[in-house]
Amino acid sequence: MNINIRPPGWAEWLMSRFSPTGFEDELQGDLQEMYVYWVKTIGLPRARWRYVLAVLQLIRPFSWPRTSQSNDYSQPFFLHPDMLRNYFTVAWRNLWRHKLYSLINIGGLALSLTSTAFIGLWVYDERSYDSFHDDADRIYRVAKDFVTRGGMRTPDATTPAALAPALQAELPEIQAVTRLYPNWGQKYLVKRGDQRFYEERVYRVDANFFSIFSFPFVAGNAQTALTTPTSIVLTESAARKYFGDENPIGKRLDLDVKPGDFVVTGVLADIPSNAHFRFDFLIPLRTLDATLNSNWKTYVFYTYVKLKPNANAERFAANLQSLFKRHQPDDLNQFYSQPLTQIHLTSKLKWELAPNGEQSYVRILSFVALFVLIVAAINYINLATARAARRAREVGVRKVAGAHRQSLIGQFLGEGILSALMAGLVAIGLLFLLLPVFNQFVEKQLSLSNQQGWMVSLLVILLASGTGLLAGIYPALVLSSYEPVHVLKGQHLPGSAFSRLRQGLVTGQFAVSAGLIIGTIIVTQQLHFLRTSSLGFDKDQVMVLPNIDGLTNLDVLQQELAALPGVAKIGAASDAIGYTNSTMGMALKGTDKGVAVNYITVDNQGLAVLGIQLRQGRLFSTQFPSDSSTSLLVNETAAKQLELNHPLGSILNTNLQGDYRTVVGVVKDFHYSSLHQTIQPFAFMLGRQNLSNLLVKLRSSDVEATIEAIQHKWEALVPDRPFSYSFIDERFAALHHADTLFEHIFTGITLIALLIACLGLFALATFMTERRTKEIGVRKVLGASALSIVALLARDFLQLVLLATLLASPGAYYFMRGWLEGFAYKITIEWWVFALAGLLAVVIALLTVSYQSLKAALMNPVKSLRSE
Amino acid sequence: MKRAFLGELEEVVLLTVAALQESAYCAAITQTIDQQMARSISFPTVHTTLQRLAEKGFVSSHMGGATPERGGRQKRLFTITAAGQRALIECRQMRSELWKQIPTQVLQLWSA
Repeated sequence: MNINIRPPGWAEWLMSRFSPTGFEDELQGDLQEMYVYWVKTIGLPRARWRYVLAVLQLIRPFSWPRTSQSNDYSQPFFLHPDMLRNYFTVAWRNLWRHKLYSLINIGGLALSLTSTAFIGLWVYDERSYDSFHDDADRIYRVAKDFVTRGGMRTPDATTPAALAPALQAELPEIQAVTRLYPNWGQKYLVKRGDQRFYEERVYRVDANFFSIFSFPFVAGNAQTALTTPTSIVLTESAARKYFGDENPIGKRLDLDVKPGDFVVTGVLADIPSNAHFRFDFLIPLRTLDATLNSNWKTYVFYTYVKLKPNANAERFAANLQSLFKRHQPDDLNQFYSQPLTQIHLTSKLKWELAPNGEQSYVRILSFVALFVLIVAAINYINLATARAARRAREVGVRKVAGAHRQSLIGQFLGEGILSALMAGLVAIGLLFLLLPVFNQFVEKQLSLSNQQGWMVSLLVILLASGTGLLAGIYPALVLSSYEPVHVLKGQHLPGSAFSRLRQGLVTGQFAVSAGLIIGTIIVTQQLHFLRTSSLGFDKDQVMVLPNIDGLTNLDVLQQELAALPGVAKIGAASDAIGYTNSTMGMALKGTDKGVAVNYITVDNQGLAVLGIQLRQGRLFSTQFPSDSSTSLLVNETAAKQLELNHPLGSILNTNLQGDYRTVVGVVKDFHYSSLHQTIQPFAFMLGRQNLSNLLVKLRSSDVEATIEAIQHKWEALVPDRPFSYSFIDERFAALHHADTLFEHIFTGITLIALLIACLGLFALATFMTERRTKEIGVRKVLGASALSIVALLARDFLQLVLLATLLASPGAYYFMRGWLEGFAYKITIEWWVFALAGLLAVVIALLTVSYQSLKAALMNPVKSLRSE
Repeated sequence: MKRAFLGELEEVVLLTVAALQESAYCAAITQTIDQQMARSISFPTVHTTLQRLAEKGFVSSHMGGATPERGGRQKRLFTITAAGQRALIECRQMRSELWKQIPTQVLQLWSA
């Protein structure tokens, strides 16, 4: 044979390797003949070309049988595209045929994933306070216990000014110390041109403030921001308020403090919401008193410390106390340090710069979120397994058609994960959609637009696929094990086999729901108690007008206001009740056992306005002109703790420095702060100094007109100070704001959990009833009444729900008692709470189940028995 | 009764199988069609068509007739089955029915 008429070698090789099975010999032979023929008829080049084309069309992957019937009974690979398409088709048909189940299943899971993610975001935010600072783990706040000679301790966040320089000079482990002086209620009048505003969030800080705190700069830089006495640093939104779109750097801003004329040296990005103190303006501390650095007595500063990288925090705390002892050997106060990142959740000292969060809320809500997730996962698993049982026939057919067990397992797992992923996607959509609503609800500025959003989405997807996997495992393993002969004959229709598992799951689910119901009842009760319990004084319609200190025409103002028809009483005080009060060490004359006593200074009418009730003695009165320098009122707790056996006429050393005053009356205990705290000793003094708040008791008729009238008078008599006011009852509501918020979140999530549990129960009841259609038909034919059939169907569920309540009670009791521990004044948890929760759970379950049961019981047996 | 449908290509291939008698194998069939009908049908197409005819039961095949031109490899020799014959006959009948329906005048016009 001529060498020229050999076809291309590689094509020949391809043909010999990949010819379709059964045709190897003939095809190679035929092709060789054809090649010779082609070379003869159309020439060598085109023959080679045709040969290659023919080979490519004949070799294996391209020569799948194109006809419908094939002699090939070999098994396709179970991930073959055709098989995958089949899985999808079957899965989709299943979802579509049982629309209700699918909706409940996917919707429920999506709902719970959404709420879990929201709570997760909230918890994450609460725990992330102050961690945005560089080296936040090395930053500490110095705090102290205020200790009296009597041994009474008051934990307090303030420190003296001299502490910081001493720390910097004497403790080598310290990298930097800085002090912060807040406004202490003072408002600063800030002026630029004709723009004048009263600003509260003005802090004075040491020049090295930014070497500890890394608030990011928008303009200017940390090194030079606070170097001169006239520097002022403001936040972006404050800058916009005064300068609009201008570049504020180097511009002047006028404040009513020395030196008055400030120059903007830096603009900060707005302070993140997860900082434990927030401000709008920073000015240098040195504008205060020059003798600061030696003052160990006045506790009005906050001290923050950054340790060196390898410093030992415990050693630092010990050194801190011994340093203080060295400088102030007679002082009993105990100093310690708090890690910066834990201040928000765990500190709760007196004089916090901003209200703290509650560790217990974070913990409880984390658990609740987890529970909700579990409830939904159980639901999902329950329904998926229940529904999978109906697919026994499909498994039989697939097996007969040659499916391996592995491919069935893969199919069910994949299906579970896929539909759970659908829920995950829905959840992520909801998350982004509802975030603004949630932010408004919890009063935070959570964001999903950054890296956090990706993390949360990823987590949701992971949780969803985890749930899907769990839900898929059961049917995957159990269903795939069925013998086709049994399932196809209908002998071994599964269902009852795993009812025990399902019962367990339903019980667990309702245990969680019952626990949450118990929790909600207790939280609601306690909050109701907080709102309605008498504070011991009259908080309603008492208006507080701040900024009256040093007014020369205060008397005129008071008279003018008192003359208004809507004003019942008017008085003045140094502080309003409901805020943090000043404290002084006091002792009975002749003893040195000091007791820390909160006090405020009032004028003669102040106590009458507040409706403080007298236990014995008298209130301050104009009939006793000496009251202002020699008299004192104490509350019952103070009388007890100061060991005043006959309080009236007792003489107290009111500042432990020799300011003696006589007790002229004892007032009944009243709540001057939130009900989280026990009532502490409290005293009233009479004076004209330090009166900075007007207290105005309004008549209940037409409050708005009265406020307007008061504003009119104020603007006429005090034109240089802006008019502002608050109400004491609003202030008290604000003290319990965190509790109210917790109530709302807790109730909300309980409702969601209940809803999800009910959806699950409803679907399960539907399913169970459907399975028993024939049984019910037979029972009815034999004379069972509709009622007995409803009872029959409901009984199972009710037993489970009751059991669940029993299981949930101890856990709920434990958690809620822990929550109530945070209140000094609280309700007791009573047994009927648990009974009520059980009853509610039963009623809810009954309502959920009864629709299906009734439908089944009222059905004509002819219908259910006819079909076979 | 539903008849097995015979496509045009199938008909040509089946006719060739019948014409070639004992020596009908894929390469020979392709060449015959190529030469006699002056129409280029690719070898793989003929191969696939033969498979389809076999599935429909119109041809049967057996192996044999290895020759040196084909490297000593065996041929798959096709023979037409009774069903194949019936199908061809029906095909031809149908066509001649249609031919008959064309009026003679028209036919004369065409040939003219």
